[in-house]
Amino acid sequence: MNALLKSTNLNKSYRIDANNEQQVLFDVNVQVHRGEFISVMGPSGSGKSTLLYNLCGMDRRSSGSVQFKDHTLETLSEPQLARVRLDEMGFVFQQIHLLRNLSIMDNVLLPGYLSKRCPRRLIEERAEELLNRTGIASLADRSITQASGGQLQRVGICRALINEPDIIFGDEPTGALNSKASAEIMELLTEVNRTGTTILLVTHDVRVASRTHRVLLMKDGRLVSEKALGPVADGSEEVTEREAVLANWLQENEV
Amino acid sequence: MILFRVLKRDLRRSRGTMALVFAFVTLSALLMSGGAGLVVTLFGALDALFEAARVPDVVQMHTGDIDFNRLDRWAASNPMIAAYRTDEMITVDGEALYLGDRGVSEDESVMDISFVRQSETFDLLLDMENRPFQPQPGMVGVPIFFAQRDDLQVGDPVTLRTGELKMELTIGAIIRDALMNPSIVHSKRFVVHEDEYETLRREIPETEYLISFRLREPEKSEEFIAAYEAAGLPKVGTTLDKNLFRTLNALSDGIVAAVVILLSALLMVIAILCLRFTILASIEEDYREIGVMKAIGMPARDIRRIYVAKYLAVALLASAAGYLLSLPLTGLLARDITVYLGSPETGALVPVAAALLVFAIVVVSCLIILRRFRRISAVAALRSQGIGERGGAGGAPRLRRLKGLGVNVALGLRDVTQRLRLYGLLGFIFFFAVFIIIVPVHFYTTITSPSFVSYMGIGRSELRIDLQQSESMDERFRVLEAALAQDPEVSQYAALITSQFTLFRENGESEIIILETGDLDRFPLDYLQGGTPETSEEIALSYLNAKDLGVELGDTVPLLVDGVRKDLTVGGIYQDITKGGRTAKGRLPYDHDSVLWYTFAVDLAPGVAVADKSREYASRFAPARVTDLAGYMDQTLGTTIGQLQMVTIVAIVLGLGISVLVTALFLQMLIRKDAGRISIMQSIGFSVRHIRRQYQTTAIAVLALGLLLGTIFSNTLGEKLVSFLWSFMGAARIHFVVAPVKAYFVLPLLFAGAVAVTTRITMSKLNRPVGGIK
Ligand SMILES: Nc1ncnc2c1ncn2[C@@H]1O[C@H](COP(=O)(O)OP(=O)(O)OP(=O)(O)O)[C@@H](O)[C@H]1O
Ligand SMILES: [Mg+2]
Repeated sequence: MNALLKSTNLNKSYRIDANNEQQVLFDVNVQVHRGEFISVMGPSGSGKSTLLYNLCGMDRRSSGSVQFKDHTLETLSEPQLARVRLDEMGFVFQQIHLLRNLSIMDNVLLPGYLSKRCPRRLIEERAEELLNRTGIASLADRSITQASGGQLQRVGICRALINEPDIIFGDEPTGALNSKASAEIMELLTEVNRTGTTILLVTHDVRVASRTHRVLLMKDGRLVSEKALGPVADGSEEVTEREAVLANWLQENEV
Repeated sequence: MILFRVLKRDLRRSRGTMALVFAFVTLSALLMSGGAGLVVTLFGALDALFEAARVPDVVQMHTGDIDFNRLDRWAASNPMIAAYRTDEMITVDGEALYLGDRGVSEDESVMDISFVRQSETFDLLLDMENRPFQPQPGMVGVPIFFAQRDDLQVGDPVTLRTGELKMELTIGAIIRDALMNPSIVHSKRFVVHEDEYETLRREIPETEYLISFRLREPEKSEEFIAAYEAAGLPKVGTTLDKNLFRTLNALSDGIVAAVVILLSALLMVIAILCLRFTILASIEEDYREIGVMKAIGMPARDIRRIYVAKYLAVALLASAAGYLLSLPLTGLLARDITVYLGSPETGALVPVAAALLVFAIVVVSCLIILRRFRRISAVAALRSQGIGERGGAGGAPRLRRLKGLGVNVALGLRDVTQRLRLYGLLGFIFFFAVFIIIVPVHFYTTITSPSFVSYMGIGRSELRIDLQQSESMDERFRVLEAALAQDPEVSQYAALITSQFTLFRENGESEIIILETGDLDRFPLDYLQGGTPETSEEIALSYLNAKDLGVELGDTVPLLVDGVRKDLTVGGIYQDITKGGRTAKGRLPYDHDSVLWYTFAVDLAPGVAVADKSREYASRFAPARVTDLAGYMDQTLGTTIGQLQMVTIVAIVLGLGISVLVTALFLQMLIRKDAGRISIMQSIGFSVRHIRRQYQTTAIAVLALGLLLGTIFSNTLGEKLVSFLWSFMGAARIHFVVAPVKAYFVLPLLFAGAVAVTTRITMSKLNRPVGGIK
């Protein structure tokens, strides 16, 4: 089976100043298959976020290659990359990054309108359905300053889903939430994944990672290990068991 | 140290703006000092020249004979007179005079040329060192006007050729003539030696007299003029006084100085607006930091002080630079003054004071803007994001409502409505730029359109024929009228006679007005109020005359008609910028001796070429002046049109330049301010092109608003402004003639193009990967 997203010997260096460069990613090879739910773990500064932004084309790799569907990202121009992100990818962030000058509904509609692949009517229907599904329909016309963090993260998820992307990238989407809100968001993401959307997210939280199919471990810019857990079957007992397995594995890898 | 860090970052951040503010303040100080220097030089030079030339206080021109005994007796008995003299001038026809070796005569010149001897007592004609010029035999002193026009030098030849006479002269000096220096005075005096003067006198019979007086109390010149008139002394010609000489001499350079100072004020306003914008932007960016400083107990005064220090330094440096640069500028601007009037020892203090004024205004404005610091509360600052972008989506329409617009256009437009105050500055600058361009453009269109004759006190006719004062004037008038009556190619004509009348003021004083009689109906005039006088009981006054006399429509003015005082009703008021703006029209019997000139207004039969006819009459009836309408307007308004053209070009360059600069500055700051918003949009799939389109939409929308307001204000307020300025010259209600394509299509397009390109270039900075979102 062909990978949906695949990196080959991905390297990334940042220029610190005129003479110094810092290499952050070293020969990273990742394969993400359609329908997978993957998490990336690792100590702070190990390059998780950098990996994520290089895989989605927001950042430009230093060498190596990233293949997404039939696009080779490093060969695409800025407008082409933007188009790929708009139509085929979704993003959720720890700081959510909604636009302050737009209402909640407008934030969700915006990428849909911009994409123009579907008529506006359809986009609007889809947005309403998404807000319903995530339980925030009543907030649609509010300003984003009038909602809680957990609610805003749902808005972020709705926005990511509006163009029915193939994959959603998440950089610690639950990082700023309390455990209850965090669990709810994971529930939502799991459900999204079940309907066929691939998800790749970065997290520090073992409980979050334990709900994903496969966990990648990064250390000092290298992919050092991975653990396959498989999809979650319903039932909380299994979840605690998965957490334990994962914690064990992390310990083995000295994290 | 936190204060130092704030200052350092602020300087780095606002480098572009500070450079712009620096430039505007420098320019403003430059122009202010330059303008002040110009004024000082102008009046200094004028005083020096008047002193050296011993200018008379009152001058009466006279054509015709003089009873010298009577004049002497009157002068001797009048205690107001300190000294008086009568100078004879020989009137030389332009076609007889050849200046330099170009072989071209002064045939077409509008100047009335006369030859005189140097005076011994006062009203001296000076050389370029302000010394009275004493010509040797064979030498001539040539007025500076001609020397400037033809680049004549001492030593160049001057030839007089008329009838039998052929006189070869050499230029012995270039002459400053305190009475007749300026180009708007259409009389010029050439000085020759006694010998040549006598020769000329024998050959040329046409003479004129200049009767000049120095008074014991120069400020009483009006009283003196009234007394002179009352005495019935020679007065076929214009009466002038020292104030008028001053005004005439100072006029053109005075206008330049006024424009320069006005421009300086304008740039200062822009500099202050830019300052306000930068200061508010920096405060906004440092809002949190300022809040933190307040929270840890640092007094707001300290924080404010670092900003004050910064702007003080910039304003001081810029004003100083402006002053230094103004030194060569003043030299340049005052070049004409130095040539025409001489170079005085100027007070250097005034330009320094002017530069200091700019500095003070800028600093005070800064202090006022910086008062905002006090309003920052620590809690509010720590909790919120900024002071500019309060609240969320409130106020603007939902994206969903903005159907039919592209997302980016919709976002751009929404932004304008959401951050109206922020865009207000940009809008104001656009408005301003549009205003300063459209007003001169409209006025230019107006002054060059044929309908402008309605401000010149005449009706519209294809040709005008002027017969100037001369001995044979009456005779030539009759011949010309007969010719016009018989010419089948003339469809209609009107004979107009301008003569002098005595008018009595309320306080019993009398004055001379010039009044036009004759066929007033054939080429009707546009009246401000009322209409053409219909009976000999009525009179029409030019706007300035009516204003001077304090009369309105229906009031009466007493005039001396046929030796009897007669009250005439004001039946019409019209605009007239010619002849000092003081003219009148009526149906009165005129005294042949007081006729100043005759004019014919002529329309030609269809198909007759105006130029051919004009040439025909000019040669048949020389020295009558034949001009077509365009030619007449061009001769009267030529210099004004030329100046206006300059002003228009400068305004266009300035307006567009300022728009471009401020747009660039504004967008740069906006991008920095909106960095967060921009990277969010980029992360969810907006390309740089999309984002650029948003800001372009915003800029164009603000520009459209500025254009709209600027155009509306130009057509209303601008028209009033121009009318106000011109009311001093006699036209109080100017209606703009608009060239719609130029003003409403080309100009907006020019602006839109400039702004779009500027946006495009400024926004090219965005062209880099997202990055910032992390
Ligand atoms: N723009 C940049 N310029 C220079 N160095 C950078 C840049 N962005 C990240 N780095 C460096 O790259 C390394 C990896 O950063 P990255 O943000 O990917 O880590 P992370 O694993 O996401 O950490 P965290 O868990 O704390 O979010 C860090 O050492 C960081 O200092
Ligand atoms: Mg990270």
